[in-house]
Amino acid sequence: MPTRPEMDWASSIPWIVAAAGWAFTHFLSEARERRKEVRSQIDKLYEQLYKIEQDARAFHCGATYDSTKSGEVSSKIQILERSMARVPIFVMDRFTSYIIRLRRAVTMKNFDRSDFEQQPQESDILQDIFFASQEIEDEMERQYRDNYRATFPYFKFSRKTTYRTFS
Amino acid sequence: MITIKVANEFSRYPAGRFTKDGPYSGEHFRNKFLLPAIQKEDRVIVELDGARGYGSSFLEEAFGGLVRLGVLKEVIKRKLEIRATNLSLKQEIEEYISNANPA
Repeated sequence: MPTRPEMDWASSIPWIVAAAGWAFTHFLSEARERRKEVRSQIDKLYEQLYKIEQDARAFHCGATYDSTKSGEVSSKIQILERSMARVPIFVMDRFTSYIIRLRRAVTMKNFDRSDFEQQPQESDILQDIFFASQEIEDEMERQYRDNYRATFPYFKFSRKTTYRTFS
Repeated sequence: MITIKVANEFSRYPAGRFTKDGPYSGEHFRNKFLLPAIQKEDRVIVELDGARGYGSSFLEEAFGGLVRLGVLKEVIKRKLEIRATNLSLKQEIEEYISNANPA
């Protein structure tokens, strides 16, 4: 009766090493693609935010009240928030107060026909809009850094949350 | 209970604080929709989705204005429910109700 040859475990080691190597490379590649995708989404949000700031500035510095511009800018703030919610790494609760601050900076004062006055470049309203916009940028970068390292392997196995402290 | 869908029943372009600012102002929304609903109904749901955007002056006058007209904050908080995909709108309205003072 023929005897079954003993399994040579040593011969399977190269296969195991090759499979593990492939899996690790695939994992790194996937992580890199995700990171690039998120970076690209955030860069587009920067463009939206910059456009809001520019439009708000143009509206408040306009010689006359422009209802079309006012409608467009409040619409863009709403769209910005919805676009931010689509970025998978973002925790939207952490953005809420910053978005409110931006909307308030742009649309609370000097935003209606009855109280509109052309604003000078050094106006407090324009300063508030600038700072509110910067705060959103900063929070986006904070959340990006919470998820991705700046050096190899460019991602984090565990998420470390950094909150901004208000003094 | 009543549900007010701003975009369908009021305007897709709500804007302005006072009636003199335009036909779809916060003051007009408050007087025509919110205040009667709060006075008559035990529960008022306001759906904000569908409109092109909201200005803070509109929101403050519509919701904070209820307090200035004498509606108790506790009554507003008990009866009013805000529904919006954008989380910030709900929080901003809650702040205006909390911060407003009776006239």
